[in-house]
Amino acid sequence: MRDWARVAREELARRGLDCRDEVATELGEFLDDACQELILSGAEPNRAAVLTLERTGDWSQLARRLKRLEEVPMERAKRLWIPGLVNAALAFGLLRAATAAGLEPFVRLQDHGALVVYWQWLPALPVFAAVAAWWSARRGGLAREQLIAGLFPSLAMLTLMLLGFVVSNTVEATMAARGIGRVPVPLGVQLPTLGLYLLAWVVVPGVLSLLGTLPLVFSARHRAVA
Amino acid sequence: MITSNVKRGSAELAVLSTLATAPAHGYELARRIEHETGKALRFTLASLYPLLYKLEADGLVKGEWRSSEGRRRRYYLLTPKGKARLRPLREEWQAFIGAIQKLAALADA
Repeated sequence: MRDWARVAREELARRGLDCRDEVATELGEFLDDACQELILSGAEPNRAAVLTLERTGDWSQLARRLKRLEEVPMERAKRLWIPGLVNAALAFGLLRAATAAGLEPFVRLQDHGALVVYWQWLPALPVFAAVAAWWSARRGGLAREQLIAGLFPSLAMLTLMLLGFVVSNTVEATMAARGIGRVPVPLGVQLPTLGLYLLAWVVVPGVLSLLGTLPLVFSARHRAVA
Repeated sequence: MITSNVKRGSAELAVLSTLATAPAHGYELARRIEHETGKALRFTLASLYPLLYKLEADGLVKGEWRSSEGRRRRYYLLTPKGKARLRPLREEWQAFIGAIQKLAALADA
C-alpha cells in the first residue's frame, strides 16, 4: 500500500513547505481514501494512484496557502512563544523563589568573578521543558518548535549573557577611549570566565531541558505518524 | 448588504453547513458536499484543507483525532462560534441569490 502521508510530505517539501506530521498524516488519509474509492470503482491500483494525484489540485497553491496559515502570528504564538515563555517563567520563577528562600548555591571563586550555581533548581528544568514541549505538540508545533519551547530558558539566558557581554564591552571600550572609567579587562581574561558562566547557566540547564524535551518530541512525532 | 466576500464565503458556507449536520473527516466532508450539491461543488485536497485549517484557526470548527477501523482520522466538528457564524452567512447568501434571480428575471423580461 502506498504511503500517502509521505507522498504529501514530499510534494509539499518540494514546494518549500516543511509540513507538520499531523498535516502530512491527514492529507495522506484523504489521498488514501480517494485512491481506495477509485480502486473500488474498478480502477487498476497504479492507475488509481496516478488519478488520485491528478485530482489533488494544485500542490503549489496548497503549499502556499498552508505556509500562509503557518505564518499567522497568533498560531506561531500558540505553538512556540506561549509554551516557551511559560517554561521560562516557571524556571526563572522557581530560581527566584530558591534564592528568596535562602537555598545555598554552589559557589566557586574565579579570578574575575564568582561562579554561582543553584544546583537544587536544576532537576526541575526537564519537567518544565517537558510541559512546554507537550503544550507545543498539543498546539500542532513542529519538532523544532517543540525543541525551542523546551529549551527556551537556556536560549533566553544565552541571549541575555551574550547581549550583556557585547554591550558592557562596547560601553567600557567607548569610555576608555574617552579616558573615563576603568581600564577594560582583556578579552583573554573575560572569555574563559564567560565560557564558565555559559557552561553553568546555558549548557548544563540546556542539556537537562533537552532531556525533558526529546521524549515528548519523539512521542508526538510517533503519535502523528501512527 | 452583500459583501465582496460572497464568493469566498460560498466555500465556507458549504463546509459549515455540511458540518452542522454531522462531524466528518476531510474526505467524507468533500464527498458529502459533492453529493448534496449534485456534484455542482467539488473540493480537492488543495482547496479543502487550507479552508478547514483557516476555519479551525478562527475557532469556527474544531478538529480532533479519532480512531476507527484501525485508522486515525481527523474529524471536524462545528463549534458554537461556527454555528453562530452560519446564520448570517446563510442570510447573506440568500440575499445574494435573491438579487441574482431578480437580475436574471430582468434579463428574461
